[in-house]
Amino acid sequence: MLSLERVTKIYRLGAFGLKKLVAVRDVSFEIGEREIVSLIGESGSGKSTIGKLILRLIPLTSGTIRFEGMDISAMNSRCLKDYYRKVQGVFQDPFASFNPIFKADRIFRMVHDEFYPKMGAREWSEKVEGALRAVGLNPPDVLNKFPHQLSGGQLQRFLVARALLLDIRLLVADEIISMLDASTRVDVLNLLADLRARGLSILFITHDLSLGYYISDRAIILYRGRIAEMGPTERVYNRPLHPYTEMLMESVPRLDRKWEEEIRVEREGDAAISAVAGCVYAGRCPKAMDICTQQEPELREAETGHFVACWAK
Amino acid sequence: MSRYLGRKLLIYLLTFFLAVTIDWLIPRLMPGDPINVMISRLGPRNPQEVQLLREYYLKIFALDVPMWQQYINFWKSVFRGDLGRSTLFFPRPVLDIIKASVPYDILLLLPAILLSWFAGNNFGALAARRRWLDNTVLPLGYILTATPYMWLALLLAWALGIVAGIFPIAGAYSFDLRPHLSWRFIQDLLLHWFLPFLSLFMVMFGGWAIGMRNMIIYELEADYSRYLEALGAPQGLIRRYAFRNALLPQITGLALQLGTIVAGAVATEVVFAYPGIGNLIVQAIQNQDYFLIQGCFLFIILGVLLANLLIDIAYVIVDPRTRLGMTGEAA
Amino acid sequence: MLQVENLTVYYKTLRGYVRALERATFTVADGEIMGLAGESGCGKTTLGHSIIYLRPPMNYIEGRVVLDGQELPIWDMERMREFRYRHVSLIPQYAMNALNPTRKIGKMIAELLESREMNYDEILPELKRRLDLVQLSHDVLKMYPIELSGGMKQRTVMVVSTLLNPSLLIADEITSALDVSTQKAVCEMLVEFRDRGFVKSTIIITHDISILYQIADSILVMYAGQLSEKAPTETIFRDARHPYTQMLIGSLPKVGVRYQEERLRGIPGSPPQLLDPPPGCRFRDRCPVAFDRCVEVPPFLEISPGHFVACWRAY
Repeated sequence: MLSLERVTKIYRLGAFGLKKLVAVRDVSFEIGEREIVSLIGESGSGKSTIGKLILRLIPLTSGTIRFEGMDISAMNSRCLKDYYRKVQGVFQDPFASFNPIFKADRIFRMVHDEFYPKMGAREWSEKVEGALRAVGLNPPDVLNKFPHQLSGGQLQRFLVARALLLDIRLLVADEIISMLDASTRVDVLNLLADLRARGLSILFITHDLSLGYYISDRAIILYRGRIAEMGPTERVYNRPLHPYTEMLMESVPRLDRKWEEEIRVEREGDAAISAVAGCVYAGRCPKAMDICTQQEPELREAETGHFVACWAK
Repeated sequence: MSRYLGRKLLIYLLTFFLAVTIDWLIPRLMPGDPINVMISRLGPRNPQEVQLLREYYLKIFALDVPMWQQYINFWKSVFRGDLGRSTLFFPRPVLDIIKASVPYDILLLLPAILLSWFAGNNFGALAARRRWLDNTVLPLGYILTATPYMWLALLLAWALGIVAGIFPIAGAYSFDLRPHLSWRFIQDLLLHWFLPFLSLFMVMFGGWAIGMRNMIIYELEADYSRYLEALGAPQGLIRRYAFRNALLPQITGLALQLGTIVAGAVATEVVFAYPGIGNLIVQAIQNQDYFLIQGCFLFIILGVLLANLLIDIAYVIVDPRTRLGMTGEAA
Repeated sequence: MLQVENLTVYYKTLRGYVRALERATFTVADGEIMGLAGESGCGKTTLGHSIIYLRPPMNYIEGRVVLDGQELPIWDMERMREFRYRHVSLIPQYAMNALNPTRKIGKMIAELLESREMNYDEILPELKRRLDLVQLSHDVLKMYPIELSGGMKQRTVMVVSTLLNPSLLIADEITSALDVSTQKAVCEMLVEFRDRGFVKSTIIITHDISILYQIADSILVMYAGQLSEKAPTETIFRDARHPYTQMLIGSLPKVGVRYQEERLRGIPGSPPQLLDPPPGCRFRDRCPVAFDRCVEVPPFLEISPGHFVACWRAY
């Protein structure tokens, strides 16, 4: 349904844009129908940039993103409006998505004015209430309130409900539960699972490995703007192929087994140096070979559906 | 480091070029022209005379060539250090007139800025730690800094000059004296200097004091202060750090102020008829003296840019954050 | 050993007192790493901070904090100064910004030590040994904070905070800003510090309970300003008695659990307002097993050795 082909994003920084920051490089992947794909990476991995690129919030540097076969960079404003009917995003900070001086349900009215200007008031309010119920909210409890009167979890559901008002096919969920409390975050996760059952595809962007495991069909592990590994979630988690993924899986605090006792301070690679040639992980990799510092490994299919970018495999 | 300074220098040159261009343009955008002012001052009797005078003046001021030519000529003479002749004080060269005024500005503004900076910062730092001082004297600081220079100057001139009769209220020295080196003259100079100085000092003092007090309070709430406090460091150490870090923006402010010394203090100088650049600018504008206006503003541009450049260099030395930021390796 | 008795701390606001911490009573033994867990607003940060750094708008109401047999004057900012750092120390949440940006790190440490009448040069060899331990080069002492990466600053602050071998170390949300790889290293350093005797007791404040499973000896769970349960880590995870603890742990997604196989459930509802909380157990409204008795405040009782719980269903 959505495909990225060799997508690259370079930010220009500094006084005259002389400095370049490669946020995403040569990233290709697809999201199929009714699929939850989690995009997992640590800070600086480019995961949020990819989300913004898909939503066309920032322009691509090179590569193409296609939605149902259409190149989204080439869309004119009418096509784009149609695109936004089908593809929507929800972001990390629910409070930042609302204007605090307006009531929270203003976001629904804006959808009405923009996408359904002809729909009558009664029909519309039924549609809104339907969407709110679909995200597990009781309409009388939450309508006609200001953002500060609602909890973070409620606001995130509001934003999902807003997306449901459209003919949504793909939801880009960027760290949507990282600011929620533990006791409510799992409910929002379950909501995503329910939406998938209703036919939605979801790109779930997160830094939290356990969330990705719980929810997604496929997992993509990013490191410094490149895909390190990609494949069915259970295989990526249980039989990781990339040394970086292995390290992540050893480091994630699990509830069924304790860490092996040993202090290993990860070497922090220098972004400027590693950009030159070779694998970006080579500087930290315990299994690095000569070739790793000279040539960048391509993402290759190691077993059916399971891709890895590592010379050792 | 050299790359950083090189880039900065390029930006400064660009700014200089633009500012000087605007400086050249502005007097020419004013309605009227200087030649007419000069001619009417001479009071010619008939149209032929007017025509003759006009042609003569246009020639010596080189205003008879097209605009673009004037502009290029202007740049040429700037590089030769020739700022032209004043139309108002014809035929004195602009540079001479400015040179005669600048010492008065330095005499007036340098002590006012330095002393108010020193006193204001110390007072502000004190206010930040003594609540009663903060509550009583600081509001006074707000009033002072919000006072227009001219208004305070008039008030002082009226109270200490006219009513109390302690200080003279006009000129840089008595009319019956010529500048020369003697006790009598220096005494007279200081007596005339005091009121303009005081009015500037007071307004500036208020600004520095408030700025410092707010910065210190901000720094005392910063994470590094809280950490030191949690580790039981005495207030003295925490305050010392806060003072030092709060001083950095104040240094910028000081350098900026020093850069404007050559611009004089227009309002104050007008009130006290003090013969500095501020006064000169007002006269030049009133008489449409293109060359004098250009000259004065050129000095101001140079002063401000130079001060900014010095700050940039000083910051590299004082603040490690800039020093690292410029190589772009900050984590 | 740390003994906290009946500690009550409120926040003073224009609308009245916010009852952020009420009647906290617990002990942390020598060598114990205690995790302090709960959701935002449960009072865990208030509890942690009031032991070392109680300042407005926090208001001391009542209670005692005894460290190694000596009562800490926590209500007196000035008298507490003497105990801070030497006896109680803190690794703050904001470790990335905790160092003065315009002082070289070594110089800052020297000035800090001298202000507490200690000699930097005497401590320097030990300081260097500890930098080695956390795998930092001695050069950091000659650097400004901005020259260090986030992880390096974090480790520097950890060394500085524990330099005087305090009896009690409070680590406040120190892993929340870190990537998983650095997170693990930082946590293991805390264990190492305890094992080497740099600190006796440690309190780790965190919202991330899976971290506590890895390194804490015991866990204290708080809810809405009150203590819910304290027990050895294994007991909290395998045999929790407070419904809140059970539900909280049940709601945690973990590697190995997928929603198709095991659908986790959150806790419906939200915590009460602490400005004017309802009487009795504060979890009552969200509790599936609440009954009449719950309108009375349940005492925090020891139901088996080392296992304390405040729930009428558990006694």
